[in-house]
Amino acid sequence: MDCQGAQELIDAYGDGELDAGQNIEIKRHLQDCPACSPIHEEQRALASRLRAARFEGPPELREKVLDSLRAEVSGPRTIPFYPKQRAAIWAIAAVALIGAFLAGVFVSKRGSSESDLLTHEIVASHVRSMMANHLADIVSTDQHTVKPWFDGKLDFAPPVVDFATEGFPLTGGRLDYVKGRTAAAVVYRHEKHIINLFIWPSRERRARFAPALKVTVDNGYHLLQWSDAEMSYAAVSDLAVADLSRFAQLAGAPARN
Amino acid sequence: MSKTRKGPKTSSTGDPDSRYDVRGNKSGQSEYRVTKRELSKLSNPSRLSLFDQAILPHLSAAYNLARWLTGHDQDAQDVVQEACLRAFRAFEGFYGVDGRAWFLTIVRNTAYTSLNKNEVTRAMTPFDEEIHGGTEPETRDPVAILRLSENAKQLQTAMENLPPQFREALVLRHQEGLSYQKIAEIAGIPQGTVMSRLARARARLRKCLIDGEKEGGR
Repeated sequence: MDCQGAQELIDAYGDGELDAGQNIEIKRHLQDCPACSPIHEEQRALASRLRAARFEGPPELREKVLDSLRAEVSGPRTIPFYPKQRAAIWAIAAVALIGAFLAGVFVSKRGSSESDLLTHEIVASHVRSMMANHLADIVSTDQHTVKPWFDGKLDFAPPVVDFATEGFPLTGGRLDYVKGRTAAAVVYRHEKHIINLFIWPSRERRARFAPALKVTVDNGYHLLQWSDAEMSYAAVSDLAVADLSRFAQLAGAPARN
Repeated sequence: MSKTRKGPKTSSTGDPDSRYDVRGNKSGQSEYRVTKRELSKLSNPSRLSLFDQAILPHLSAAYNLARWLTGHDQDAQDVVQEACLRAFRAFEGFYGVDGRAWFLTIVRNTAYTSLNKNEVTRAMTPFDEEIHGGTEPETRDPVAILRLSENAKQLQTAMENLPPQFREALVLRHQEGLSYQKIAEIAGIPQGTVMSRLARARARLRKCLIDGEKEGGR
């Protein structure tokens, strides 16, 4: 191997990306080439300086993460990992139970707890999307830009339609999570209000037999949910219900009864 | 559906830059494989403990990447927290793949989201190797680098002057010991681009280091 050949491969060599044969060849060349061996030496020096600059995270980070995940799955039964904390956990469990009971009393007419959870989750996603100011991963008012953007990021193709002429211009799209799976979040505006339209494939086939529009209020946000044979939809906004329904109808929701 | 393989095959990660680590299958990184159906059947506590075993061992890699991308300790911690939450919610989408690459992809995307929160337009401008990378790496002057003082602060400053795409390539390669293939997966670019990006990144880094030394010497 000559110097030119060696220098072409030397980066890949340093990165351990050569096959065994090339490895041996370049190693041999480096052993007795005064021109190339300093290059390799320098390469190693740079690599070791970089390696030394690695940041170690704070040791308490793992605990913090676990705490927030436990809060995410929310519930006393989720934390049997640390026996020492068991007493505290039982106390929390008791409080949570009482809380849940009281909450149950107050909101017992609001439907099953699973759909409540879903409501909370979607509204929380909506709030977070505005708070963290990461409303859109792709900013575009063109449906032909937003729709292809989702390709390859999702295993389904969400319908993306601009309703600008109807007063609900498309402003972008984002990936989000609903019910533990990736969902498309299509972002619209109506005057100063933001609407997040979450779309994910329907799991329940029976959704098709009961195409009802479900209206929920959570923390001052209005949430409209409906499904067709293919997809489930949830539109969230601080818009008035009437305006949000108008939007939902445009997006294919069944009429309100 | 493939046969279920149980349990984390955890072995020592070893030197992050070691050759063996880079070559795919024989790597020392921990692997955790479960099937999708199995995962969706799990109760919350077991999901959490599975997540703990499969993903959280890569927390330090996650922090390091986030720290370099955001440039601040607290921002990095926030990004890691948010990324963990996202990863946990999407955990059902993780099965039979490399947990470290999967998780680092989420960390990276979360970091970019937080980086770009006030600069939406810049986020939309795709990164261009040619523009951001400058010219082709010029002929090397290895002696100049070898003569430099081993100043950690200088290296950090030089790194921080690089575009984040260069920084992340260097971090993943040299600090996390990932192969071109894994970096390609995480950054969502072809392997060939990883190689040229690394070459450009190292060339820029060398230049910054040499310039920094000159300025410091004045």
